[in-house]
Amino acid sequence: MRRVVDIREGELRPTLHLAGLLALLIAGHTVGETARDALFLSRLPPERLTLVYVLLAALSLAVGAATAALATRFGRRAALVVTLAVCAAGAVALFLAPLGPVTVFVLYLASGIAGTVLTLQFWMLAGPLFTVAQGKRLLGPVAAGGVLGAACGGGASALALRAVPTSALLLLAAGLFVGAAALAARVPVPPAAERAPQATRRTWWRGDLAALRKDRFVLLVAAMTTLGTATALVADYLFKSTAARSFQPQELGSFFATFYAVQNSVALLVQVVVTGLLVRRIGVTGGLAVLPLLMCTGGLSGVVSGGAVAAFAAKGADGSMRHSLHRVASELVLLPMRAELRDRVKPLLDTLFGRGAQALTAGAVLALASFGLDDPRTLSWVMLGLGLAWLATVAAIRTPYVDLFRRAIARGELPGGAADDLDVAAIEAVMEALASSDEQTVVAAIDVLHESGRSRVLPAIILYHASPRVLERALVVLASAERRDWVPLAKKLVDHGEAGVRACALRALAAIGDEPAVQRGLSDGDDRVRACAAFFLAQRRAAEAPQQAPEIALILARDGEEGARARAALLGIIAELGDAAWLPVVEAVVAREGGAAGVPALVAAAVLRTGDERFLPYLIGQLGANDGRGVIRDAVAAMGEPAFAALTAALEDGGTAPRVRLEIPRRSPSCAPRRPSTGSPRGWGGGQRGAALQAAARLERLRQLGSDTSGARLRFDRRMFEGEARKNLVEHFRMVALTDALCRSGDDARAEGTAVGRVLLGLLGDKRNQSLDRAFRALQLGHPDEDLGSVQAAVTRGDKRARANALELLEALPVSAAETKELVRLTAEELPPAQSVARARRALGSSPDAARIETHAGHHPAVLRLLEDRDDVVAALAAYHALDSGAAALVREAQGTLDARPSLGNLGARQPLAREGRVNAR
Amino acid sequence: MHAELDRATRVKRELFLRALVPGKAPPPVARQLVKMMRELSAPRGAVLYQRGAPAKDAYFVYEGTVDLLAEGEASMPMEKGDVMGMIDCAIQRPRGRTAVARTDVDLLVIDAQDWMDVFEENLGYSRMVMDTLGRMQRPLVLELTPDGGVPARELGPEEALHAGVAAGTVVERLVALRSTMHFEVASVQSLCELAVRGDVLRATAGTRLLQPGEAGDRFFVVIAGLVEVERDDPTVRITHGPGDLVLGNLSLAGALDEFRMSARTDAVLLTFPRSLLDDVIEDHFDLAQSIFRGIAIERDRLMTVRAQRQLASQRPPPLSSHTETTTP
Repeated sequence: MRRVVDIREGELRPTLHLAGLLALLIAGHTVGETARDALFLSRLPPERLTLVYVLLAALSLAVGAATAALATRFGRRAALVVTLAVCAAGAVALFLAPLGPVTVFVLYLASGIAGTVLTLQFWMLAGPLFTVAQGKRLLGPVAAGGVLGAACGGGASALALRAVPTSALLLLAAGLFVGAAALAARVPVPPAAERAPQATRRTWWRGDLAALRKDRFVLLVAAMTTLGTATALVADYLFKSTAARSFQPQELGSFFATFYAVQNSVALLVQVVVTGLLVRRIGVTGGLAVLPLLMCTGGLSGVVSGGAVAAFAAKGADGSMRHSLHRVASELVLLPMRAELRDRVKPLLDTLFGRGAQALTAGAVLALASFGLDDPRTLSWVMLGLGLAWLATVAAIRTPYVDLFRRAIARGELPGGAADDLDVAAIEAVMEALASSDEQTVVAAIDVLHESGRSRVLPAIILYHASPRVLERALVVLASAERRDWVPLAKKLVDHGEAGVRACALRALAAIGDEPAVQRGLSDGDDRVRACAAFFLAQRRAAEAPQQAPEIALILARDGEEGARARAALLGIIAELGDAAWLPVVEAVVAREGGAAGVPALVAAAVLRTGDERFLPYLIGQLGANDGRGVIRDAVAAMGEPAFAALTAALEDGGTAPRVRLEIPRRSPSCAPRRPSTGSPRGWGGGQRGAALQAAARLERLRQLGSDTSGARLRFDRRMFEGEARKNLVEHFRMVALTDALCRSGDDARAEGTAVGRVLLGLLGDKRNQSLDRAFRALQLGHPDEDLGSVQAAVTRGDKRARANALELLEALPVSAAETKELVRLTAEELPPAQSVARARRALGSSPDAARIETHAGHHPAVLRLLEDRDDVVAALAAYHALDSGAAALVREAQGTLDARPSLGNLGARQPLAREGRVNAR
Repeated sequence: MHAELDRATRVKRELFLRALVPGKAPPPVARQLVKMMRELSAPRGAVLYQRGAPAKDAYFVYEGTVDLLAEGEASMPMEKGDVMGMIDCAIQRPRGRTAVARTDVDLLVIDAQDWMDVFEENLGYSRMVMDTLGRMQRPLVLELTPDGGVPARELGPEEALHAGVAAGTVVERLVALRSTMHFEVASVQSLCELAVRGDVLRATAGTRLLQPGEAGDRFFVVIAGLVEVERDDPTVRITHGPGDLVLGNLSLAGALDEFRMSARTDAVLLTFPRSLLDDVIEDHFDLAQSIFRGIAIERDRLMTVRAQRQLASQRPPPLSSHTETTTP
């Protein structure tokens, strides 16, 4: 039963409440409908139905707008209660009125409108109360209430008609509406779901239609609604006209009552037994296709046979499915839309499109009737055509439906940064910041102008600023702009007290060819200024071979600390302004003092700018350095494939320093070749850490390989990645089972009871999360077009609604193996761990993987299992937790394990200490 | 018109983040943050959040002053450039104080999780913020002389026993790291890296472990026993026990270099360099998240201690019996 109706804790009451409400509402409508059809067709010819359809469509437009306004003004629940009360009063009034042609005409209209408005209002109320995942499970049972109401309504009508005239059914309908109103008033609605958004207040839909035109998904839903309504109307007309021809007027009441009772009983059966399973099995879009398929079949058999049976069968199929499976699927397909858009679109679908299609179709049928073409065979052709078009629309909706989930869970990105697009108001804000007394603010403002390409707007008088930091930054930015108004002020700064400012001024002036300023810099007291001057002079005089310029040769040859400082300053300026011609200078510095503190980072920065593979061995050798490792890594990574080869060679070289070996896997992915690599370099393994890094690096590399240099995506064998995902999901659920058992109460001891046990639980938790992470990464590699990173984020830390959206996308993910898909799906389901594990095992069936997800009776068996774990740290923690727990059986086993696995003892046993006494950390 | 205003607002926010907020965000980070923020203006006297309310957002004070209020504490004024509410988010607890606008205020609000995501994507920025937060705490500790606001630490009977026999095994190191406030919610795997790659240090009671300037960029976690760190002018003496990161937040800013460290009892410590911590964070960002949480808890505790001491110092001394009898 649980497989058919999956209602979880806290969901039973609201589900029953809504199902009961819908049952009463639909029962009232069915009873009224029976009376309506019988009274109408006994007093008026079937052709008049077409007129009623047209009028109904027109009236529904106004009523639909009024409904939306009512929901906005008073809330969804209040709107439904009021409408039900009005329906009850109307039914009584019609019962009391004399039953002439006008009254039955009005009765038909009123009943049709009530049917539209009440169901619309009910689903507007019920929809926001559930997430998509809940909706899939619970809207079925709720809709079943409606079908039960319809079956009961039909049955009650059939029974009542044995004792009372047809018109008395109106009183019965009124009573049912009153009951429904009382129940509706008690539906628990959270404040956020109560009030329909402001957008629905409008009385005309021009804006909504514009929104609809922009959204392909909404457009397809509208087309689906239109075609579905048209098909249903043709089937309805065919059915009623056939009934009017086949039965005497006095027999119509009991015919309709019996027909509706049978039809709705079938619908109930479909709803209870089929809908939930079918939607879960074939998905929402699959569920949407069932009714059009049946209508096509009905149309086809009508075309072939032309008899009444086909007409009744088509109507029966419509009646059985429309308010059960089709209604559920139709509601579900709208759930991923933004609530605001859904509330705008839904009234449009139910009124403008539903009733508009009704009016148009009724007009077309009227035209056919006026030409004598409303015979069953012709109408069957029409029904078949419409059904096929409907089916095609349903087929087209799947892709945009899944896209909707992608959008729902993807992160929102705002366009551009502040610097991307400045306008007058923004520049005013920056100018205001330039006048700030805080130097940080001024520097930030200069940066914003520079990054936005508005350096021209930076006033030259900024060079009067008191802060050296501001002056340095302003000089860099002003020198880059095509202007000269700053030059006189910059010349004054060549004598500034701060060396940094002098160097910047010199650079700015040198850039515009101010030779005297540069010459003057050569005699400056500061290394940086002198290096800067030497750089520019060499650049001008010996651009091809700057190392031969006398100023540079002097710096390269100078000894002592002063010389080292000058060379560091020179490397700094090469990193900023140099080109490939400067590489011999860099090489000379490396040869002289490549291992000195700070030099590797400067060399790396210079190489990063100029780029040359000859420095690779040097840079790789410096990867273990603590200072400036980031820039060294970037310089290596920038060299791409040669760097990857060099890193691989370094790993394979036994002489590579351990610290460097440790760093290499971190760099390898970012410079991996953009073509598939065969095998893996030796030296990537070596223990747990190596393996983990190797796996991560490989996955990352493969991810990068997913796009070649031309931007075209390479495709991988999806099943391979899905297999990897499955393996990790099995591991994930194995960890879930273990942690659950370790924490389970009822045992004498629990893992939280000891400090080591808590660490053990933490480690298992890490493994659980990491296996899930790896599974999603593997799936991402197999499905590069999906944003599974966002799905994972929603699964691991999302709220209920985010998880539900994630679940929906996972269900739509085309995973080859059903059991893998089920395992992925289970990660997003909100289930207690034990249930989750049980379902995972069930999903794996008789596969050997099912046995890997062991279930443990409690804490002790789980600890015993962990003592055998291949991971030494896990086993050691389990052993020491067992010893600390004091449980005799566990202590004995733990001692045995420690004796049998000396490697565990090394992690926990008393050992000589690595160091004693005072630290000399440096 | 709206688009113009929006851009101007964006620029202002970016300038604010780059220039005024502690741990000044580099341009790309500032841009990322700007996109995630929303504005909130409140008049004088408005309650921005109540003590006990769920904590999800952090607030940057853009203009004006906000008072953070709690019973038994002096008000904590938050001014332009200050960040409030992040501590609660980092600790994942309800609001610990009520925030009331002292003047009309403009605030920038950011979802704390979004901010944490920015840290994860910009490890350099994370380190910068850790350093800044550590440095920001220095004056607070020096103000709370002589104990630095840290409660006196003594060993329990079991801990005293352990101090004598602890060997600094990997399991012991893991347990110590896991019970350290700054690392307690980090993944055990990241702690394994620190435990395995760090060094163990044992000292007998009275041994001087560090002189000022010797700590460098190393961190120390006490596995067993007690150690004392102290400095002069102003005098601060703090005792650390099992599961303590020596000098807590201050150590993140390298402030241990200003202190002497000695073993008060037989002690075993785990020590590792800053570069190792950075390495591990690169692979396990959860370690950085845990450190941020530890920073928040410690900062909150110290702010509370300071506010309580301020309030205590403002109270008039208790009336003497003589005064009582002469009061009309």
